[in-house]
Amino acid sequence: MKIFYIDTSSNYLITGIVENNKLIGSVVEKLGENLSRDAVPLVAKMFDKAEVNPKDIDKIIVVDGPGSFTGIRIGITIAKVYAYAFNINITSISSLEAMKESFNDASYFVPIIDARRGYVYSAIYDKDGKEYLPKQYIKLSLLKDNLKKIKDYLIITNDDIDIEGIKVKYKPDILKIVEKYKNRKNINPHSVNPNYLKLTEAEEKLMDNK
Amino acid sequence: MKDIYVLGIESSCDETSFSIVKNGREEIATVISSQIDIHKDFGGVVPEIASRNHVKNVTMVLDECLEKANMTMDDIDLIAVTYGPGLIGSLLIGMEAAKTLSWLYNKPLIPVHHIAGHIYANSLVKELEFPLLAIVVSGGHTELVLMKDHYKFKKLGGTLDDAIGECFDKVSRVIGLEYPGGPKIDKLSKKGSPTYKLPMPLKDDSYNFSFSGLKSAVINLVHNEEQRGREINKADLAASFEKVAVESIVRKAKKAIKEEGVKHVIVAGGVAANTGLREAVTKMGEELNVEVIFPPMKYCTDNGAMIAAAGYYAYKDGRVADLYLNSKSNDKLA
Amino acid sequence: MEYKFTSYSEEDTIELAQNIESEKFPNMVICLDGDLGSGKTVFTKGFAKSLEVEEDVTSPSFTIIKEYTSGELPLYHMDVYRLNGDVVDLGLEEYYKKGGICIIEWSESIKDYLPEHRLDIRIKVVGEEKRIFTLIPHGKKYEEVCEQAL
Repeated sequence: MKIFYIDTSSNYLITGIVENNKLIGSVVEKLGENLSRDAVPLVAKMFDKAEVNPKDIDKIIVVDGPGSFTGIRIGITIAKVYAYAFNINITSISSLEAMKESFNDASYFVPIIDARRGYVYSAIYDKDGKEYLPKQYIKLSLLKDNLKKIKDYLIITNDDIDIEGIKVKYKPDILKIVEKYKNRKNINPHSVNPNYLKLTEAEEKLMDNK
Repeated sequence: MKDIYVLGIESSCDETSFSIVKNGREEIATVISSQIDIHKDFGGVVPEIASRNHVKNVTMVLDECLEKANMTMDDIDLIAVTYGPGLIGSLLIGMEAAKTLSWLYNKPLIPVHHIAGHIYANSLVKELEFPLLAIVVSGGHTELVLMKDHYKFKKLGGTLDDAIGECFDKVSRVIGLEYPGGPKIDKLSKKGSPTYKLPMPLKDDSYNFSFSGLKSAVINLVHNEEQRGREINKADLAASFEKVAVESIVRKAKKAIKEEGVKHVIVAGGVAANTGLREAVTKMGEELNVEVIFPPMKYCTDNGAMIAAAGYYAYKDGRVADLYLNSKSNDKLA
Repeated sequence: MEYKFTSYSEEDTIELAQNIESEKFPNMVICLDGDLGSGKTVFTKGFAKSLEVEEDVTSPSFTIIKEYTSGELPLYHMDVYRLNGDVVDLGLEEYYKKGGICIIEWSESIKDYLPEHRLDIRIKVVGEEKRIFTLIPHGKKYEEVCEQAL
């Protein structure tokens, strides 16, 4: 089974092809403003180098958010058009799910993406990958309260977050992510859409007042 | 010669549109997101007809277009896409879709400037003949473009502030009419006479336009009349405004026609629907003995067919991009 | 703290814009509110000229956001009137941290999506040419801008 993975939800292009439990091609590159220019050609080059015909992919896994608004939309568009074009099975995962797959040595994993104004996107996963705290847009202080209740947790973040605990930077383990999520339910390409996880500011204000 | 089928992709602002055009002249099928068939079966997913839902709609609009054309992507020869100008977040989606399709199907990728698209909308009606003057008038653009040959553009002038369509919308707000203002002012002006005095903008030697001064003049006029306790005759105001706005375009178009030896005039863009403008330009055509062409309205508002048509000629002009093509918010046509 | 400035002509409005421009910094956000014809785009054009933007700055009413990168800093000129408050698919927040300058016309309609720190400028039309500008800085940096520019 050949699986194509793509994540453009941060400033990076993170993409790979996995075949029978082996990562046969990958690109992990900080593109920033050049993401819209370079994403497609770099993906094309990756396929050429791995000598894989895009038609031979059996499944596509795309990260649908949270993260950069522009970044997410680029990856989603590429993935859904690709899935639609060759009628390929497709599923989506959260950037938070991808982040937690990179590490093993802890009882809990806490991926965090900064969302400004004292808020973050985060979730708490246990060792088996189950959601202890569901992924959400949450006030950092509230996340900290939740962390007080558990021990041996690992914070995974590339952002500057004011939080105590052992922190590591996110280094994508594409093979591990793909292996974990390759059997996730397929969805209709037409319904592959960004999942920003963001509340509107109005809803945020309501939360503030609680 | 083999027929060339171009898939045109337009997403520069509000709409997502895919279209297939043969040889730059014959429209095979066009789908625009605001008019997509929401009852078609997309596997339980319903398209969004509101503006700027590009990501949600992109594959559904493409799908319906191919189905309408009874074609597959293998039948397509070229992929033409609007690279700009426009709203970057919108342009991006069409661009990523175009590049992905170009990569997967190994088809040449043709970048098209949005205004070139508006001009080439005309080739869906009649082969472009030269030298021609394109009067591009829309919500977002107001330009005079000279063409002496295919895909050779010279921007003679454009607006320095508001596009004519924007000005119509703003004046319409001042008069108290709802969006979209352009058609409403046009309709109302038929019921009135141009009795209010409004200044002709930018009476200079350039081919440029300026509508914000005209807008301000209308605002000041309304204010002054209100101050004097006089009621504004809305129909007359609409007629007065439209007359000046239209005349400001026609004046400069006339100048261009005379100075550049133009034989054909095309009016392009959404404001081509304005009856006042149509009458004035038609009259001008008769006076100066030049051919005037108004494309059907469906080609005047943003659509993929105009991009597919322009794409064919851009390709003939050697304009093929690689997969590093990027969208540009602002770019000069020429 | 509010600052007031009276403009008697387009030239005055442009001068104000240029004075504010000379206090610019990356990620500066200026919110312009005032009736049609009050001078929002005139202000922005003046600002852009000072910033050495090469292109003509034209109305963003239709396109919503126009981007200019030829000046000293990128300029993001927005008019959100047409959105009717619906900003979902625009990625507005990303513009606030791209290192450029955002000028947002009709910002009142998207109050919930504006950054905490910004300069609000309200323009009141009091005569054919006369305008009263009320500058309301939110945040220390913007207070300094007002102090220096006026």
